[in-house]
Formats: sequence, C-alpha cells, structure tokens
Amino acid sequence: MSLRPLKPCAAYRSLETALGLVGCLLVSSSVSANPEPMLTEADLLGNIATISIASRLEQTPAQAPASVTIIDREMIRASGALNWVDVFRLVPGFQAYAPNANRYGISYHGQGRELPNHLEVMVDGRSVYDPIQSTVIWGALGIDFDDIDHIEVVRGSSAAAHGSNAFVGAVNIITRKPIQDQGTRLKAIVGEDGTRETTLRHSAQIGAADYRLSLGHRRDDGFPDFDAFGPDDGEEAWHINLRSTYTPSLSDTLDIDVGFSRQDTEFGDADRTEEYIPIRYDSQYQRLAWQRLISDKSSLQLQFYRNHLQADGSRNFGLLSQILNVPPESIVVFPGILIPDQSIIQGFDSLESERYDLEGSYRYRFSDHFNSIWGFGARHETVDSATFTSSKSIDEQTWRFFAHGQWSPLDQWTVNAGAMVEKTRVGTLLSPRVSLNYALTPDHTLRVSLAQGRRGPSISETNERNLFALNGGIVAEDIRRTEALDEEQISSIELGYVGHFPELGLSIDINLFREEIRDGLDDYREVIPPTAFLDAERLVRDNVADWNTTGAELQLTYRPGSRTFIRLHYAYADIDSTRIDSFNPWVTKDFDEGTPQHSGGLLVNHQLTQNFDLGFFAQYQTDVDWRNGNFTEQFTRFDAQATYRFQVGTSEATLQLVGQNLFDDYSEFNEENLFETKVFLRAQIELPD
Amino acid sequence: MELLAIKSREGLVKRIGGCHRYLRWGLIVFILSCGSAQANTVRLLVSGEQNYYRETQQHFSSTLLALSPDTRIAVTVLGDSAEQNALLAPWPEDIIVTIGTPATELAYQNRSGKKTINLFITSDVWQRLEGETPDQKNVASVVLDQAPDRIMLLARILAPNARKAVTVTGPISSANIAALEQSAANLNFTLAAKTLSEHDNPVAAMSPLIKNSDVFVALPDSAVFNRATAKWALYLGFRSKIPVIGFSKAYTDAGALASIYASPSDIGRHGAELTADALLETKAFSAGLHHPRYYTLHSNPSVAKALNISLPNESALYKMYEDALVKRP
Repeated sequence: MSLRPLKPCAAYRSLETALGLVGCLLVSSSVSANPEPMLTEADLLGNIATISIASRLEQTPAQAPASVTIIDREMIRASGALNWVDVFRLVPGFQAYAPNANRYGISYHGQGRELPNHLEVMVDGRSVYDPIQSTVIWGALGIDFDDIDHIEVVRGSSAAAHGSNAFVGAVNIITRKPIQDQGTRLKAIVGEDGTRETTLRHSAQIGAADYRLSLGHRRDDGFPDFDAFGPDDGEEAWHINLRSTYTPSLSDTLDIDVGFSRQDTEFGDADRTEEYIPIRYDSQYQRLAWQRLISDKSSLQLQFYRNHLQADGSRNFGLLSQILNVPPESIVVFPGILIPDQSIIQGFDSLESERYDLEGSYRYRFSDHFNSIWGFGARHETVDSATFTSSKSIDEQTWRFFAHGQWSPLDQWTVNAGAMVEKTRVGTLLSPRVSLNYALTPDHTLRVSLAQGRRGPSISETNERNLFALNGGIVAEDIRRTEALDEEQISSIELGYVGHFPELGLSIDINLFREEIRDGLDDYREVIPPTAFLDAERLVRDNVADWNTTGAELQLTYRPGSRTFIRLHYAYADIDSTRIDSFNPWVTKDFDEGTPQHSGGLLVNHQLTQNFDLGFFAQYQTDVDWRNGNFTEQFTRFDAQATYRFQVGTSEATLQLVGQNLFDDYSEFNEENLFETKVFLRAQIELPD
Repeated sequence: MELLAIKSREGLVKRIGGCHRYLRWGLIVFILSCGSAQANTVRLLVSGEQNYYRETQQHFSSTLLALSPDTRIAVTVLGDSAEQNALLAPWPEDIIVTIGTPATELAYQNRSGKKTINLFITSDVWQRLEGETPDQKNVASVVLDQAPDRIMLLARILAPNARKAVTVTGPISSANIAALEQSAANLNFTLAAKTLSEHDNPVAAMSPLIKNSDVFVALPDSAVFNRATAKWALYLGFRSKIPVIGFSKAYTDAGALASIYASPSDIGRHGAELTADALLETKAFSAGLHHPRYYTLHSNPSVAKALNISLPNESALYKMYEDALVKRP
C-alpha cells in the first residue's frame, strides 16, 4: 500500500526544530517549498499574527508575563488628547505631566522628576530614549497622532524584553502602515493659548512600494500668563516623515522610514523663569526593517536604525558689569582677582547625540505548547558636547542578547520565562523575568510575575557636568560626575487578574505589585568654595537612592453596546523611599510624595448618530511633591469632545470640538503651570486618491 | 500504556493523570460506558495532543454516548513515530474513527474492511488518500473546509448589494477557482481571482484587485500563505472599505467582517452522528466525503461599525444563513 509516510513529516519537524536551534534561518521552507501543496487542518486553524510588546511574542493579555495597556486611535480621539501628556493620562499608574508648557515628563511609578529616565519608549520598535538628557524628548518625536495605529504599554519592569531603559516599563508607539491609508488628508487645529497646528499627510504608491508622507507645523504661546514672569514658554515645531513599505515577495516585508523634526521651545523650571533657556531640538532618524516569514512556525526580523539629536540651548544675560552694576574695569570674582568684562552665557551650547542600532530576532514555534523568540542587538552611541560632558566626544558600545519562551504544558497553565543580557560600560547586566499564568476559565486568568532589571547609567548620567567658566577656563563645577557609577537594580513581583465577560462586553485587568529599587541614581549635595555666581554647594550624581513602591492598578473596559465605550482606570501607589542628600553632614531625604498616591480616569464615549459622537474624560490625582518642581494639590480635570463627520463631495470631513479642563483651574509640576479651561477645534478632510 | 480517563455513567470525563504529553506515543485512553455486556465498540484514533484534536475528541465522545449510551470507546493518541504507531494496529472494535490527518493515514494503512469514519481532515487529504486507495465503500470522511459556495453565500448575505467579489489563491486554493466562480455566478457575483506565487508582491497584486471590488473572499491555503496574505487583505480591505469574509475565527478576530468555519465541536458532533447511525444501523452507511453538517459563524461588530455595515447579531445571522442555505440556487 502506497501511502504518504509519516516519517518524513516527523523528520521535517525535527529539521525545522534544528534550524530554529542553530539559527540556520534562511534555508528553511518558504511559501512554495512544498512540491505537493495540500491543505491541512493546521492551515485552517492557524493564527493571524498580532505582536505583543510584553515578551515580543504573539500573545493575548491573558498569556502575557506582565500587565499591558493598549491605547488605540479611537481612545486617543475619544479622549480629546492633543499632546503626549493627554495620551498617557489614559494609562493606569502612569505619571504624565508638563514641567513646562511644551516639555513633557512621562513615567511609570516615577519620582516626579523633570527628566524621568526609567521608561523605554519606542516608535515602531525604534528606541527614542535619548542619551543627552536620559529621557525622551517628546516634542522632538515629530509624530502626528492621526498617524498612530495604537500604543502598547508594558506596566512593570520590562528590562528582560527591552533592556536597561525599560527599567519600570516600556512603550511602543505603532504607527499606521502606509498601506492602511490612501489619498491626502489635511488637518488643522486652532485653539487657546495661540495654538495653531496644521498637518498634511499623503499616502500613495511608488512602483510596488507604499508610502506615507507626513508634514506638520505647530505653534502655541505656552501657559497663558507665563509671559508675565519672563520669557515666553511657547513652542514652534515642525516635522516631516516618510514611512514606506515594500513587499518584494509573499514572505518578505521591508519598512524604510526617515524623518526630521525641529522644536523651538524653552528649557528650565517654571519657578525660576529667570534661568529659562531657549532651546532648539533638531531630530532625525532613518530606519530599515526586514521581516521574513520563513514558515508557519518561524519568522525572522532584522532592524537597523540611526537616531540623531542636536540640542542648541544658551542664553546671553549680558555683560558682567551690567549684571553686577559695576564699572567694566573693576569686576572682582574672587578676592583680589580682577577679570575683564565679558558676557554671561548660560546654557549647554550645543549637544549632539547619535545612535546606531542593529537588532536581529528570530521567532520559532516548537509546538502548540511552546513558542520562543531570541535575538541579539548591538548599539553604538556618541554624545558630542564642548561643555556638557568631560570630553568633547564620548562613544559607547553596548551589546545585548535576549530570549523568551512561552510554555503551556496544560490548557490552564502558561509559563513565560525570558532574560536580557547586556554588555555595557558598567559590566554585563542580566535582567530575567518569569511568570506563571493560570486560566481559571478561558475568560479568567490569574498571573504571578517576578522580574529583575539592571539599568546601566546613560552617557549623560555618567559624564554630565555643569561648569562655570571665565576667560575660557573652568573655575567651578555646579554638577560633578562620579568616577564609578554602578547599575540601578529593580526587583518586582506582580499578581494579576485578567477577566473577560463577553456576554456583558466587559474586560477587567487588575494587578497588585511591589517594586524594590536599589542603588538608584540621584544627586547629593557637596559643599564647595563659594564664588560670586554660584552657590556654595554642588550636586554629585551617584547611586544614593533606594525605594519600594507597593500598589494596585485597575483598568476596566465596558462596551454595553456598539455605540458606547466606557473605560475606567485607577492606580494606587505607595512609595517608601530614602536618598542621601549629603554625606557631610549626613542628611537623608525621601521622595515619598513624588508620585500621586491615588490617580485614575474615566473615559466615556457615546455615538449618538452614525455621524456624531460625544466623549467625556475625567481625570483625578492626589497631591504630588514634584522632585524638580513644587508641591501641587490634588485636582480633577474634566475634558469633553464632540465629533461630527460629514461628506464634502467625495471627501470625508470631520469636525471635532475639544474642551479641556472644563471646570476649576489647577497647577501641575510647578505652581506657575496653570491649566485653565481650553477649547480647541479640529477640522480634517480626507481627499480620496 | 497509561489509564488516563474514565467515562462515568453521567458522561463526565475526568482526567486522572497528567504526564501524557511526555508519553507521546501509544497512550491509550479507555473511555468505558459501564453497565453493558454487549456494547458497541469504537476505536478512536487521535492524531496528537493539539487542543483542536482534543476538543473534537471530547465533543465526539459526549455526543456519541448521548446517542448510543451502550457504546465503548477506546481512544488511542498517536505519537510522533510512524513505526511505533503502526504497532498499535490491528483494532478489534466494530468501527474505526480517526481525528486528524496522521490518524487517518494510519487507519488507511491498516485497513481491515471495517467501517471507518475520518474526522478533522481537509478535502485535499481526503482526495489524496482516495486516489491512493480506491474502493473505499466503508470509509466516510467529514472534512474541515467549507465548500466554496458556503463562503460565497455568507458574502452575499453580508454584502447584499455587492456585485464584484475578489480573492487571491495560492498553490492549494487555486484548485478551487472553478468551483468558486460557479458559486459566485449562482449568487450574482462576478468573481476576479488572482493566483499568487512566492515571488509575487502581494500588495502590488492585491491592491488593484481589492480597490475595484465590493467584497473580498479569503480562501484557505497553506498556513504560511494565509499568514502572508491575510494582513495585506485586511489592510487593503479596510482601506477601501471593502468587507473581508474569512474562513476561521482567527481571521475574524484579526479584522475580517465575518467567517464561516467548522469548529472542533461541529466536526465532533457530525462525526458522532455518523458513527451512531453506523452502530445502530438507523441509516445506510454513507461513504465518501461529507462537508461539515454544522458550522460556526463568527462576526466582528467593530469592523462592521468601521465599515458602516449593518451587521445582525450572530443568532440572527445564523437564521439568515440557514434560510439562505435552503433557498440557494
């Protein structure tokens, strides 16, 4: 009897497995490799891919090793969000604030610092965490919100999947593929505080490639009364992006993205406006990504990108003689020392960072019960500065290897285990994570997750200095670097529940967590000889902070019908912290109030007619004593939006009216950052191809 | 061999062991119906530990025992080794029932002329085995894939005003173009189909096709072909406001307007009914290929809303579909 033998099938599986193990990636089967193509039951039942940020594997939230929040474009629109702070207010446990009108601080379980440094942020997998200020320069991202498909957020340490900077969490902003849109879209926003924004997006094809070209310009005057204190805190920004996709074959997808953005704004603290510095950020990037679908079990991705950021910021306060009100020929800096008259310039002149990053990853599904991914990455970073760092140019190379496996030995149980190994300047850092998920029923899952993260200090954290120079010579350091900074360490445990009630249209995600951070980077004060212009102390950065955060978070989505969408989130965070403020004399302080103990939001959107919907978003948070700002009281903010869609000929048009903070004014980060009621009008028209 | 489960009088299956995943071959599960000395016997060959095989097995067993309570079902779960699996034969039971392709192939290899019912295979597998082993008067097969006219019928119900339907086919599904064209014509569609090879640019090929269509119908092909084309079909369909009709739950979850497919429970139930008929001899044994008697419709209200399509709820959709099946040309 001649039958299709079973043995070759098993051998084929073994070969595939072997290929996965040894990394012989490109010789495996492709779409047309089977000489006798035949439909199998696995073909009919295979999954259509969706990628989760939590582990880099395709997972449902119930299978993921961490709490995940997805913000889709509909949520962004329904909330009336106009900037990044508005967007991340939708994520439980996130702190999203504006240290000044156009500079944003976004963190998770943070300390309320002006430049939060523990959150990895990516755009389509490209890290935009910048080494110049060890944070994300949100204003220089140059992304139009309408180009966002969705945002994936890991709430909890994700160093095991995304490396050092995902110390407390990770964000991946997924922009729309060019193929998703067609034609031309024009959008304009006008509103309070002199806000004027115009964007143009054009999506089409060149040959066999799809592309999207986005152009945007935005300006505003900043907080309304800010001019009274000194410099204006408004901004002027523009961007141009090109995103393209080329699919040379069924199995291959190439993405080529380039972009440039510029933001002119102010840098400084709102309670010391006399020290404000005008700053210009010029940012550009190039990204090339290749995905190959090798078989129904395996796929390969390679990504290479370059980021370049230049920050120019300085302010000329005038001649010393004028500032001190003395004759130009009698300027005494130190007793008995006269110097020539000269301009006082504050700022960091010009800072430049450049990053080259190459990463390869390989996904392989060994069986229905075991899925895996592993990969490598190499990064070269350079920071150039005449004054900011200890030498003009500092280079740094880091290497990383990561792997993650998802094993479901039984229907109810899923085990995730993964780790990241990074070779950095401070040594080889290992960040592991393991989770156990138990499905009580297919719709209700419990999770326990343990994670450890190691974060090496960034180039600027290692090398930053704040210098006072006269006649071209350094005479004092306001901020001094420490010779041997170590890595920061986080250990966390999380208990989670993910539940779905399909008959009610209800989804719930609850987690209880505890994070322990040791050897956190912070600044302590050191006494120095007094000068005419500087304080008698300076800041020294070192591993001098420890803190524990305990809390709980909830996110609930309820769709009582196809027309109504309700989303509730709440976070409780209790920080127990200590940091060394001074070694001599010995002084310790804490930042227990640096994050709100209670925060939450309620978003309701209802479609009244097919063309008209109303949305409402309420946000609440308790008092915060901002680390680099002031104490601000609890506030509740109410936003609302109304959207009307209509046809203009063959074009679709949209009008949206957004009202922000409809009731009492409140301050955030600094008392001077006063949020009043603001109204904006957004008009948009889609011109068909 | 390890005893893993017992079927009680009430029909409740309880697992009393847990390491079967590590003993992949030759694990035989006896599900015994107590209290009958002259029970009908069924040998159930299951291809593996995959969830869909187990779900089919569960629904088959529970339905069969409800229809024929005196039936004894002996279950064999195959391992990876063909040689070791071959040692499992012969089987003394009255009827052989297989779940999945490897089990079906094993049954064909060890045929003894007994009535055999193959479940959870594709029509491609059935045709190949039929070609290789003719004269199968005692073999019935319930295939997973829907007949093309069923998919087209769902497209017609959800897009009543559509005139032009399009699809892309791969190395497997291209064989169904003629049948699909006939079904389309019967339902007043004009069908445009394009066959893609590995070296074709899927977006460039599908973009003009979908742009000039009213509905996209996805046909199942190899898993890798399905994965390679589905996301582009869904993106392009969404961009052109064209509904996509899929063939699996995963397709609908990923963004198709709706899908029709046979679930493991649908196949298990159908197979159990054929088996009961054969055991009880209530009907003449119906050899040959059977398209699934039962089907599942799965729709995506979010997609319907985005496409401005009025989508009935799933029970209403079932009713509409059943009525249309009766009235179809």
